[in-house]
Amino acid sequence: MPALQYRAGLPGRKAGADVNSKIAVSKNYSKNRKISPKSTDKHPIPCAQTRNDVIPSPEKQMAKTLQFRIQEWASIEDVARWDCQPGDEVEFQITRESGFRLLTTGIAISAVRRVRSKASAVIIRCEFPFPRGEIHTMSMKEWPDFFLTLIGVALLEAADTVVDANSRDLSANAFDCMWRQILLKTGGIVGDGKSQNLISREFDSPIPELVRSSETNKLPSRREFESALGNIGEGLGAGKRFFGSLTEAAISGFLFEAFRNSIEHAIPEYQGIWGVSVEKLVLQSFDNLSQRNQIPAFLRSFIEPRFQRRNSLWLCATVADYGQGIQNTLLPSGDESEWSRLMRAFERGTSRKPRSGSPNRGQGLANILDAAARLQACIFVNSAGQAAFNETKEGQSVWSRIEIPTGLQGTAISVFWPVSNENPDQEVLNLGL
Amino acid sequence: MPQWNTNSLDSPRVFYLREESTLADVAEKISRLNADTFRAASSLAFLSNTPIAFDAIAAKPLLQYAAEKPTVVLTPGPSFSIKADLIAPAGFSQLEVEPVVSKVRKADLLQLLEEDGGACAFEAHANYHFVTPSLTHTSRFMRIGDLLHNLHTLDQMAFWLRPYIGTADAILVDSWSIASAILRTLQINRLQIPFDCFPEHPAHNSIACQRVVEGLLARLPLGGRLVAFVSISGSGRLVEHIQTMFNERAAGRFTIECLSIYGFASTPNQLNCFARIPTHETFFQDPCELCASGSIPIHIDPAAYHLKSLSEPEVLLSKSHLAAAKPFIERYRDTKNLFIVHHDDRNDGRHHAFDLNMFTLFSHPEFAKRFDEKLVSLLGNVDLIVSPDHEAGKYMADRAKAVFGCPVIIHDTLDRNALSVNDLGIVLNARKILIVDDVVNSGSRLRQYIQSVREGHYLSCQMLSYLVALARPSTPQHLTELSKTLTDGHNWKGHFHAVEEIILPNWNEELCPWCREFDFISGIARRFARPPRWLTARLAKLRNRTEGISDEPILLLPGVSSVVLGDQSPICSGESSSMVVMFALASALQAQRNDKYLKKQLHPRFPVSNVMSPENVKDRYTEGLIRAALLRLVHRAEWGQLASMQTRSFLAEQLLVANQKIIAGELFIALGRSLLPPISAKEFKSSFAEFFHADLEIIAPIFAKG
Repeated sequence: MPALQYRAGLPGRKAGADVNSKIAVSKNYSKNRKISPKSTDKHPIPCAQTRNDVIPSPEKQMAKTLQFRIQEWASIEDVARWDCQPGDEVEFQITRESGFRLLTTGIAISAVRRVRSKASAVIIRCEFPFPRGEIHTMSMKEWPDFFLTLIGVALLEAADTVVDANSRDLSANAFDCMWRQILLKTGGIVGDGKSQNLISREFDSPIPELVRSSETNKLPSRREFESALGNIGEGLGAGKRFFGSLTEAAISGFLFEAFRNSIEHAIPEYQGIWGVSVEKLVLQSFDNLSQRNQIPAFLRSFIEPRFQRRNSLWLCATVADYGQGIQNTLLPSGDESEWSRLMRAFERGTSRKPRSGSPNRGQGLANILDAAARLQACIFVNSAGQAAFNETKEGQSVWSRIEIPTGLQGTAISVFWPVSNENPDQEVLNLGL
Repeated sequence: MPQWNTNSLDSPRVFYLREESTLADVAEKISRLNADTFRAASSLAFLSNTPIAFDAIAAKPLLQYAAEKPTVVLTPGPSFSIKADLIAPAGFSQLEVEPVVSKVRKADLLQLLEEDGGACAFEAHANYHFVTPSLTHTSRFMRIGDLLHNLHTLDQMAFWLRPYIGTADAILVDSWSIASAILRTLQINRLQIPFDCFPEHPAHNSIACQRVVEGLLARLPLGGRLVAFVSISGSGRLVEHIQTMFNERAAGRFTIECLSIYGFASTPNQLNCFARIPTHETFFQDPCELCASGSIPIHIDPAAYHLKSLSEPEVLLSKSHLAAAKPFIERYRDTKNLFIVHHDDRNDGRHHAFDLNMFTLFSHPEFAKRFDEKLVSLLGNVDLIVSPDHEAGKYMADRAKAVFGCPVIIHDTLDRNALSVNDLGIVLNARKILIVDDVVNSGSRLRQYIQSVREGHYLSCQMLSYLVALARPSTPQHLTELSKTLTDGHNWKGHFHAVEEIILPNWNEELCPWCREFDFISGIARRFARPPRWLTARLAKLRNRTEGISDEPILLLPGVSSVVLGDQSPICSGESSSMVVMFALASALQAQRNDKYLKKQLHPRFPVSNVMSPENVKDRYTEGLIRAALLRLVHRAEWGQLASMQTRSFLAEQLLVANQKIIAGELFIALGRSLLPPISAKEFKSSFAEFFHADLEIIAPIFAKG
């Protein structure tokens, strides 16, 4: 069964009747609606394409309601279907099992942004009750797991309406509590033992407080960034030394370069959530990889030869934004294809930035490759409809193209690597095995 | 053997021993003590930064000298603790540390003040008093940093700081004037702990202080402990500032301990002061009783913690300052998208607070005419055109080629080793070189070309001309210097030509007022889960430095519309946009900062300051647009200390006037960034309620620190 289904009917109806992965729509007669879009300017869009501008007149098109049920281990293909026509309403149905496969975060961040920029209303319907009591008093541990992810926070930020299984309307408070009670207090980190996420928000917090330099809104130094990663490592149950070890130094370099690129190359047109996500994959000696739905197929072939039938920990770190995509920040060279331009971005010395004379100009993405090669990691890049996979090996860089649905902006760079049990740097790891 | 109890330490005499001292040294100190001091002491205490071993032979005479007075030795203990021992005939008798340390430390620090002879205390005279950096009026000001004028005192201070510094993960200090004591402690104990000081009192520059706190927090491990030292606490406001800054950023993640080295008897009891000065100190709230009685308030400089000059000459922005830029402004004031603020240069990546779109300028008929006239005036003096490798330079080179009909070389430096063989041949044969460039700012590119011509031995060169579309130096003198650079010390004749000139501040991201606005209002926006539209719209513009801002440079609060300049203004012609007014005033203020008549110069330096007269905004420039632009462009120090209070009060009142609403956003930033003296949350609410409505309750608390 596909992880994502489209269901006909009004959003007020309880989910259940899936309709074979086809888009089914309901006409949007608002007088029948239990949940109506609220008149609010909480998502002001400061460019010409405001939400009101894109709503077509009734004569041209009848607005629809689209429902997306997020199931366990939703895939890239699933989240790439999150789309709508201008003026449609979109409802996301969240279950306790809702979650995403590895390497899906980037596509999802872009898809959320796409839906938000078109939909007249975004609704989150949780098929479980929120904890009783005041939402304002909820600690991070009390929040449903789904919302402790980068995608969860992005959806919450994008939503006009949030209701739970008891029809409790949390619209007015849900994101307010996530922002003020959790994110502001943690400096931008949210997560649990399975994933840890550093949340950036355009336009006011591109650099979360935890990694902000002494100069407000100035890029943090790598050391400051690494200090924040230490906290992330601790949140994954890896102890304070995590990301401070020799092995992880390369990863923190990777993340820092990608994070810096996301800030420096951003010309954000929409407010929204992006950030860094670190997810944990624990494999046990008896695991059958083909049955682990958390792992996408193309990643499985990377893991298989390296999985030595013993308990092991793998980590997937992703920097995901909803910007223009790497290739679109470079000036085209002749009739160069988008794919070729994306590949050119990873060549040393390529940059969209002005010629500053700095020896570091154009070294960012190339440095990421070097760091990944030292870790025997693989890299997955998803950039505005183009996706590439690289089993980095020292001294060579071979990219293979991954087919993904087109039509999404945004950049996500992920690195996935095995954390070796033999590595003395990892002695403090608590794998929970 | 003297009787021991903690009351014995109520009035001890304290001595600091040099490194590697012994009990014999203790005995010698006691033996040399004058009789009066000895009698007044209830006990004797000795401090040493190195351990002291018991020596029965030395102890015997020591105990005889000390007679009935208990003698204690305080030395470093394990884990940065202090070890307190009573000297007894048979050996050291270990004492309960806390009461001993507390009493001896207090006595020692007060003794330091006493021995200093009051040099660090400023006492008020009948006709003047002091205004401390926390803006409290007081009859006494203590500058603790003045105590630290020899190594002995530093070491003595380090002894007391060690237990706190040794167990800290980061150290914050309220003033650089006492930084030496902290650094000495770190040095003695061979510690590498993150450390920083406030550059000024937070009441005057909360942004800079917040950055210091944020910088230290960024270096703290999770759960780490920040120790903050305040040299002296009066009202306790500084400690409150520190606590607030910390709580806003790190509560729950880190811990903080605030310690005051000195306090007054009247200092709030909850503050942890090592020593309280017993003299009763009176604080006067606003309105100050001393001021009311005619006593003159003398401000303490919030950065240097010295007396500031009572005299703050006030200067006016005059027509002469506006004159230099006026021709340029008038010629191009109607040109859309020419004037840009908060812009990253696409050629070199540098950030410019003030920039001009050169292609817009090139396409202006008046500029094209003047450019062509300039080229024609150079006919006969050019046989090679050189342009930097950027689009604007290439455009100018093409236009010049049409006039001179000579070769063009596109190259950034003319470095002999970087030129192609063909180009090198052309350069070697050239006698009259014209270098064209779009803008000259600092002149670094010009210097690079000159260096290459010299080092490349381009001996044919007899004339080197430099033609820029726009010269925009930061001072008039700078342009003269650039011209001299071209000719002085060289065999060739050289001429500097500019099609247009305007003096503008050369402010990068450190000084860009729009970068600082972004810092400030992004902090405001973070207080909202859903920032209001006026904030996100503005932040979206400020975030996009690639495009910069070319329409509205002024922050418009909700309900406020942009305005244009009125008729017959001395700034420029009527109906000029806010952007044009911003550039005209930026240029004028820069001219005022460099006025060759020092009495007219805007020169905010310590201890004598020429500051902006409040008359500038009261009577001289009465349009809201001009006042708003001045709020954006004038630095904090340029508003002065006393003058800034008048300016602030006047402008806050003007918010009620219908045609002055445009100043609201700029006044909001100026107050929030401490460019003007702070106002209370209550005052803020009453002044800004009409602009912020429901958002007021979320925004107002940031002014509570004032």
